[in-house]
Amino acid sequence: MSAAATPPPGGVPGRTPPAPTSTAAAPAHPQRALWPDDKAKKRERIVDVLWELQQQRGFLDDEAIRIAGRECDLTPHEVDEVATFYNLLLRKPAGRIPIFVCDSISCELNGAAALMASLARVLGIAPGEVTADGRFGLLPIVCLGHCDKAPCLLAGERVLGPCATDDDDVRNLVKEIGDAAGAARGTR
Amino acid sequence: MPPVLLAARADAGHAATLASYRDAGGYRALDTALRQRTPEELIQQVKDSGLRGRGGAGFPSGAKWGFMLAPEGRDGGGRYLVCNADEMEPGTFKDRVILEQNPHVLIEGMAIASYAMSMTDAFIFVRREYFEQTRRLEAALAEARDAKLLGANILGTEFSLDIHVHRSGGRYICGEETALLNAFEGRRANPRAKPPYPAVSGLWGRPTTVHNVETLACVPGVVEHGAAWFKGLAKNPEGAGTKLYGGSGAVEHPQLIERPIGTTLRELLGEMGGVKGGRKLLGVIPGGASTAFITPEHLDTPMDFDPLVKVGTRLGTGTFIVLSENDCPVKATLNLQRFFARESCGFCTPCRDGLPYGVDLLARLERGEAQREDLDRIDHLFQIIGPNSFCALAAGAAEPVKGLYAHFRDILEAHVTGRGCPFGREPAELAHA
Repeated sequence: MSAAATPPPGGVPGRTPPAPTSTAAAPAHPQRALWPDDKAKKRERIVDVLWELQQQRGFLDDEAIRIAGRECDLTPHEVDEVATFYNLLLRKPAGRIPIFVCDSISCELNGAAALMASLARVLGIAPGEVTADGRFGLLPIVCLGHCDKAPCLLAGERVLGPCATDDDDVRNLVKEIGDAAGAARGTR
Repeated sequence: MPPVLLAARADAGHAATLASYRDAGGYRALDTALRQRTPEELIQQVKDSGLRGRGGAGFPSGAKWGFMLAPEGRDGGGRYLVCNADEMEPGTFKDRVILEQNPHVLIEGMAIASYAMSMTDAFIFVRREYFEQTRRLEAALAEARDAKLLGANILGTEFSLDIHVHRSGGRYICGEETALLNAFEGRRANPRAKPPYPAVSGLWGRPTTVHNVETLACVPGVVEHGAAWFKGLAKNPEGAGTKLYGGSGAVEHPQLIERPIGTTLRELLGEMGGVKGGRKLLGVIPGGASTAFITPEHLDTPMDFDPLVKVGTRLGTGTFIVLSENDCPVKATLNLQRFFARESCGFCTPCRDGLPYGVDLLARLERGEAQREDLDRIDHLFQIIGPNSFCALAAGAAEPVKGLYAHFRDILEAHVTGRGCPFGREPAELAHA
């Protein structure tokens, strides 16, 4: 998204050295930490920690939130503020292999709705559901940044596209996604 | 035109290696910067080059660098450069291609920028969906460290810097620079109040500059060939540099190409094979979801910041989305508004509640359930939510609606009088109901 324009902070920037300051002319704001302390460094890792827990557990259950809190020195509440915020962090089961189908503009113009409908038929589930064997989940997601490959989806660590949208092609695609996920697990 | 950003791009499937990047002249600019230029000279050079931020706002980069000359932040503490690689604007895929094909140009640009602004550390904030791109970036960073282009005493000088990668969890608002800083720190990514601006109080409360990937990737060219050369790359007199232009939607061959900034949409679309299936062009969203529609009459407008403002829209990210005669602009706008409503962080009420209301009104219009007064209601809603919300997300959401009302009044009317979408296609509701 657009970064808002940044006007100069406090007057015209230049190379003029600062006027000598006395203790009376202390800065308006208290001196901030010169370097992130250990607590800040731990906190910075929270999304990585949650992501790893999700890879191990399939989704972020309450226990995962507590574990992440201990690891990053945060309260469960602070962790949940982060865990509930991101599109890729899942607080509910979404299958061992969640399939995220992009439904933003460039994909929609190139058949994203048909792709989602076909995946739903092939998997026998509606978006938001998980197959009976717990293997696949089906979810919409916003723009994946692969608009030149529309319609596309994210499965595992791969963005796949452009995807054909008739059921036979989608059946092959689902098989390929399943095989690749199995292979990835085997190499771990 | 000499390719600037993607000069060393690999043929297929791989990123340019350090060796191939160097063969194309890479890292000469860093050497020049560190050995022959003072930080002040570099900042002046970037000012003179006319480089403007490529993330969407078009803020002059040299001015942004100049803020970091302020003496207040020079107290021996951390000063940070943050590269915004959280590319999530619908229709936008340009930064992805830099990471995929030429990550060293970003690394070199970040090293030069960090030297010029006396940064102590630099960070790349990348969306997690870019798994493969992050792998390539990390590989390039490792190559650069091994070659002493990063780390302590770079190229034998007194300048030291490392670049760290922060992987996010995927959320559009993280592209807003202060929301990004909160996300980075491990907090819920609501935007922060400005002022203080990041140059005064950014990452961990320290002086920080946030730049888009493409902006930083322009820096080595400016330093190696000079400000005049960079300005001269543009096709239009007020422009500067090259631009990564992407085309998607109803485009015959969707792709990303680097061309002089100010190239017209007619030329760019022509290079991409024209409108998909040889259909007629209805409209174009020129630079990602938060820019207003333009129509075929604007095809010869230079795709640059100022010329596009003159025709009522913005360059944005320069990655355009094409609608053909078969694509309903109301349906397209509804899609964009669903995006903005979902991605609103929920912090302020006009955005959190206003955008879903807009989605509801547009959906009714598309389904044929809207009354005539709903047309005014939609127009009014999107005029008030932007100025009354906390950050720029809702103002961005209002842009395509503004274009819809400016150029497609007849189609809006037809949705009311014809009791639904005149484009004769089923509204695809499945995924969004």
